[in-house]
Amino acid sequence: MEKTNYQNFNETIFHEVLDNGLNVYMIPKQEYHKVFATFTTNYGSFDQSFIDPVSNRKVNQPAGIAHFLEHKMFSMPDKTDAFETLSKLGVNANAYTSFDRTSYLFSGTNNTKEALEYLLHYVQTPYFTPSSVKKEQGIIDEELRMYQDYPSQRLFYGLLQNMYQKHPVNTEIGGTTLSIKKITAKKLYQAYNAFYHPSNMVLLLVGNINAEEMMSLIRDNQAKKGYQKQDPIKRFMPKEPKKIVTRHSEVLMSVTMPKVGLGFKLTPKSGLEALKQDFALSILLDMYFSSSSKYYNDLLKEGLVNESFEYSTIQETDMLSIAFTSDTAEPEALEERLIKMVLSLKRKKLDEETFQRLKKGMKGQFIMSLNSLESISMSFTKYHSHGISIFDVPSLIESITIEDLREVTSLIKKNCISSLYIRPSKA
Amino acid sequence: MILVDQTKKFKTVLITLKFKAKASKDSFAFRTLLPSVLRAKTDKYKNRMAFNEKLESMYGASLTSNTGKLGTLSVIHVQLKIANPSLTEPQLFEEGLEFLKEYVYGHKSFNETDFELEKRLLLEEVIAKENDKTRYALTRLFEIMCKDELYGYRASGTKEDIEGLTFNSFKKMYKEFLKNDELQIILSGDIKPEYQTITETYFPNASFTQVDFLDYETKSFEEVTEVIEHDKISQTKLNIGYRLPVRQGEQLHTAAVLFNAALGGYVHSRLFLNVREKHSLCYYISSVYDAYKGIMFIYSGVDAKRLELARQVIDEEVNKLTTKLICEKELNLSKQAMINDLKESEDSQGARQNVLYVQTLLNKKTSLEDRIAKINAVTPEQILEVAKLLRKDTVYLLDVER
Repeated sequence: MEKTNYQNFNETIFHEVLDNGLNVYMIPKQEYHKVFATFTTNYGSFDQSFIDPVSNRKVNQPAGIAHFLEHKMFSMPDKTDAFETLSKLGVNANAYTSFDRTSYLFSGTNNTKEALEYLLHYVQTPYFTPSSVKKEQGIIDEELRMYQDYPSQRLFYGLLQNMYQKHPVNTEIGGTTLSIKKITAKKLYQAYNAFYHPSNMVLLLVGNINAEEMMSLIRDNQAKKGYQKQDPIKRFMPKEPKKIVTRHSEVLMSVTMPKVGLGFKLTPKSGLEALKQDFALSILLDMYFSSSSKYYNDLLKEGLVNESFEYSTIQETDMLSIAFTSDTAEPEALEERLIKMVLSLKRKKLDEETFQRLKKGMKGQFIMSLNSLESISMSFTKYHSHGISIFDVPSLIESITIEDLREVTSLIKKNCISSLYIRPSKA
Repeated sequence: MILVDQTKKFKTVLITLKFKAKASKDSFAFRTLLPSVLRAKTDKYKNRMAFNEKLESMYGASLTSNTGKLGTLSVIHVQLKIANPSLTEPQLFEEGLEFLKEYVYGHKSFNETDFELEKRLLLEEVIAKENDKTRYALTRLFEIMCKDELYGYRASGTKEDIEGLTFNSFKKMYKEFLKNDELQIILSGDIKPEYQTITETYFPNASFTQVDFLDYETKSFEEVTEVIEHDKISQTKLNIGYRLPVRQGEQLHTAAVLFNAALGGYVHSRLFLNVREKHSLCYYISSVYDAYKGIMFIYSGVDAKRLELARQVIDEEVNKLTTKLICEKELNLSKQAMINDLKESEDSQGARQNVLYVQTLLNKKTSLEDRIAKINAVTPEQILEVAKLLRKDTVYLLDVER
């Protein structure tokens, strides 16, 4: 087990790769009551096309299968429900699927060793039957419907659909009513066998733990399971054209005020560079659109936006974009102003003082985020997939220069802008 | 009065100001608007930009505020979160206090344009809240169920109240706020001994008076009120409100919390297991108990086509708990989950502050161990006793337009 100290933050990380390839990390925080454990597979809604390691053939799977699989992992062969079992141990269990990951987690203050053993057990026990798959289709369909009633969700995905033609980011993580109907027990097993091999997974424990003791428990547990070695999975991502799909679209919904979504599709880099690009873009947007910026305050004064105004970068595998969303009485006017503002960034002389102040703020916010075990876990897994440790983030932020910001502004292209309005369905 | 939660566990220091006054329909809109107008401009920071720049330069400190009801009280809660000065810069704590003082009191004059802008923003925020149908349906349930009670009134004020605020009335109410609200301060985190003294010099007006703030307002009724409204949505929101006349600090209080936990507070609870898991009737279903008011409500999003079955299953589950003794094993699950929640909340700086504040209001300081012992002592008979007090008051449906 290797041990790394991060003195600046008063934190330590323990790490070991087990014989079956599983990466185990631990961040002890003994002054907490709680333990937060996540068991994550590097498999999300993007992974619909890959080489099946069993048959060695290329397979294409329906959208939403990673999320569906996540739901189904809780059914156990003895008809019990893993969620219930964990809840009987007195811990809070949950799971979530994102574009590139699926995480199973629990947090609790009692029976944490038992809960950990059980977490490993149920995630490593696939059990799918045709009838249970059918039943789950009903629940997931309700979940998808619920999201359909959320204007912000519709705005977010609608914008992505307008911008991305082939990249799977254009489909909701949960899939669609149609795509989930195509999911079968056989397809679930196929996905499970490919992506739930320990070598494609990370186990992370943060909180009130004794690292040595927990590591030996995990080692023993995994040694008994007889996993055979598996090579990294070959995945296929469709090649996304630089162009957008639709310049503009509109949706009618039960909202009280129109909503505008405005997206800028940019050309992404990969690996660590992608992360740096994302940070640079975030700082750039903060400089011009945060609550301390002139642009934002102008928009407020002009009556074009309100507190619902948000901007974000969307950085995922092979994609990078900027999204603005806001409620507004004047969608057209807001869109026009925002486009002008964003396009003007290329000509701006970026102010060094503001840049440094924002970097200082980001550093402070990073320190503050270390309060929460959940937030440490989530960020840890995210950065781990980019090949860096969470505690390296402040120095990565420090390394960003005004030059990096200038480089991202050059990616903003006039013909890669798309907008979506949600208009009230009632007069 | 300054309350201190000293702990080295967290990487942040929280400085919280709680301004409390008696809740009244006439001041909700003002009190919700006040925190934003205060940050629009101060004597020292001439506009929002300057104000927010200052926050960024204090290592990305964040200033949050909200105004809420706590029983019969209205509390304006202002919180400055800073990175622990010993991890950043030692003077950060005092800088934070000075900033907070300027924020609340640095207002020799207000600007009418700023006032109008903030008023518009609040108005639009209140209107936008209706987009969240789950929340909107709950607001409607409370409005209907507690029609002539303070509880049924929107704590952020209604559209009309906000529109009715004028620049002059605002200025007048700010003066009254300074005079009448009682300020309490809570410091938490790695609080050095001198921090408390410095805080007293910046806020010499901090004090505390004990008041009874539990809400006893309750109507008498014979029948269940039922209201159905329609909207262009794809999932029906089914909300049911009950009177549960047990309040915080009363003998049956812990039993009432456990009763709610067993019914619909957790994923092992009856509603989740039966309505969602057994019959797949919904995606979410939960019950919530408000001990300051003595009510309980169930909220759910159900398949419109199977609404009747959902209603029937919910009624059955409630009836079972009111007629049959819960078994020890099931009760223990709820106890375990609640104890876990209590311990987890010790790991959250915000939750610890809330516990400290409410305990001070109730004048009941209890240790974590005492609270756990209280939970463990609850019997199945007490759960039944609580369940028998439950009375269904109102059913509110936000249904799919058909």
